[in-house]
Amino acid sequence: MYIFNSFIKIMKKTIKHIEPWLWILPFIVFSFVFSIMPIFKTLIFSFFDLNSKGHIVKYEGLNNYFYLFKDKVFYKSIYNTYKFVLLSVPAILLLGFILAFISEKTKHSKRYELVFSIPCAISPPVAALIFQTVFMPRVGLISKIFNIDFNILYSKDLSIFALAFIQIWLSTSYAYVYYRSAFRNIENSIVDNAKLDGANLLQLALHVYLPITLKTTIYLLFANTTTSMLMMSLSNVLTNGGPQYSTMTIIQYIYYKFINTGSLTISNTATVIYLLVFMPLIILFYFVLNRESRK
Amino acid sequence: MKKYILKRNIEIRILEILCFVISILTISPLIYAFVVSFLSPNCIYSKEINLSMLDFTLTNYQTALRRVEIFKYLSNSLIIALICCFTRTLTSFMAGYAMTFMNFKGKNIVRKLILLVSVLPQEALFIQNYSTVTKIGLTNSYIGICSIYIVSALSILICIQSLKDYPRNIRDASLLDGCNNYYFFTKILIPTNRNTLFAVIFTNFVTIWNVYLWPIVITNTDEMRTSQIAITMIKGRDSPDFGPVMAATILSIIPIVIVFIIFKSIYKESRIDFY
Repeated sequence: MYIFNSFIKIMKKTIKHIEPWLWILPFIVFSFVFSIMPIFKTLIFSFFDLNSKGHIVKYEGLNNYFYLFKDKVFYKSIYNTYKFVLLSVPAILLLGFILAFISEKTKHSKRYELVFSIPCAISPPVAALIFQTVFMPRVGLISKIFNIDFNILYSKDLSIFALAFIQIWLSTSYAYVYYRSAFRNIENSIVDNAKLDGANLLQLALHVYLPITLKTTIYLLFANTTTSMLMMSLSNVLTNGGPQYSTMTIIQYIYYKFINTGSLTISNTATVIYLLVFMPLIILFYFVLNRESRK
Repeated sequence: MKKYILKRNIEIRILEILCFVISILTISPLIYAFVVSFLSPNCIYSKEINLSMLDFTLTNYQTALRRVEIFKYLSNSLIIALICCFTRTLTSFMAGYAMTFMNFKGKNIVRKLILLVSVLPQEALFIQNYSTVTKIGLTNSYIGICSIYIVSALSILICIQSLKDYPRNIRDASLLDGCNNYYFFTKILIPTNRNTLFAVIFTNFVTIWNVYLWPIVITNTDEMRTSQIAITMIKGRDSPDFGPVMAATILSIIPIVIVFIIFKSIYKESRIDFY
C-alpha cells in the first residue's frame, strides 16, 4: 500500500514535469518536420542528384553548384530579387507611415481606415490579374486615362517597376493597419505636449510619432523584406519570368526549374543559395526579436 | 495667433484632399475590375470612354462560371482555410498558455525555438516539404495542402504577448479551487481573451486563403486546386479575356472582402503589439 502511494506520487510528479511539454508538443513536432528539418535536408541533398519525388539517385558532389554558377538566368534572378526588394520595401514603409499619419489627423478617419486596409484582403495572384487589365494598352484604365499605347509588362527594363508597384499597393495596406494600431497606443498627453510646444504636423510626425513606433517600423521592415524576397506569384501570373527573364525572382527560378525539369536537383541547390543569401537577414531579425522579447 | 490657426487649417485641408485622392487611387483598381466585369466585349475594346456606350451584361459571369467552376474552388479554399485556421489558433493558444503560465525547465530554449521558426522563410523550403509530403503520399489531398500550415509561430508570439497581460490572480484562484490546466484553458482562458482569439483567427484565415505557391506545387489535378490558382487558370493562352477574368476575380474576392468588412466593423479597435 505504501509502495502504491509513493508510485502514485512519482507518477503525478512526472506528469507535472511533462505537462507543459504536452501543451507545446504540436508546435514543436510540426515546426520541426516542416520548418527546421527541411533546412538540413536541403543542405545535405544538394550534393546529390534527386529524382522527381526527392529520392537520392546518385552522388554529384559540387556539380549542382557548378551548374548553377554557370546559369546566367540564376544570376539575373538574384539581381531581380534584390532590385525588387529595394524598390518595394522603403516605399511600403514610407507610404504606410504617411498614410496612417495623415488619415488619423483628418475627419472621416474611420472610413479611410476601411478603404486603406481593403488591399489586405486581396491576394497577390488576384491583384496581379486586376493590374494586368489595368496595365493593358488600349483597354486598361491607365491607357484610357493617359492615352498611352505601351504595355509596361512587356518592356524589359520597366516591368519590374510595375510588379513593385503592385507589391507596394498590396503591402502598404498591411503597413497602414499596423501603423494605425501603433498610433492608437500612443498616449494623448505626449501628443498634446508636443502641440503645446508648437510643433507643426511635420515635426509631430518626425519627432513624436516616428520614434515611438520604432518597434513597429522594425517589424514591418523585416516582414516586408521577407515577403518581397519570397515573391513569386506576381511574376508567375503576370510575366512568367518576364521579358528576357527580367522579372524572374529566386523563388520563381526554383519553381520554374521544379516544373520544367523532372527532378528536384537544381531547385534544391538553388534553395541552398537562396538560404545563404537570406541568412544575414534571418540572423539579424532573430537577434533583434530575441533582444526585444527578453525585455 | 490667427495666422497660425489659419495656417494650421490650410495644412489640414491639404492633407484631407491628399488623403481623399490617395484613397480614390487605392480603391480604383477594385472598382475598375468590378465595372469591367459587367461590360460587354465591344465596350471594353473601344477606344473612347463614352459613358453612353456602356451596356451592362452578365455574360462575363456566365462565361467565367462555365470555364472554371468557381464555387468548387472557393469551397476548396474555404475548407483548407478553416482547417488550418482552427489548428493554428488551437496550437498557438496552447503554446502561448504553456509559455506564459507555466514554468518548466526548457522554457528559454522553446522561446528561442519559437522566435527562430517565426523568422524562417517557410515558403522557400517548399522543395523538401514537397518531397516529404509526396513520400507520405498526400499529394492532391486536403491534408497535404494543410500540412505545412498547421502551426504558426507568429500566432504564438501574438498569443504570448497578449497573455502576458492576463491577470494572474484568476489563475491562482482557480488553482486554489483545484482547477486543472485543461479546465482553465477551455472554460476560462479562451472565453475571456476574445479579442486575441478573433485577431488570431482572422489573420490566419486571410493568410491561408491567400496562399499560392504551396497549393500549386502539391496539387496536380484540377479538382483540388484552390481559388487563387483557379482564377489564374482562366486566362486564355495568348491574351486574357478581360471580361470573364475580371468576373472570376470579383467572384473570388467577394467572400474574403465581406469577411474582412464584417470583421473590421465588429472588432473596431485593433491593438497589435509586438514582442
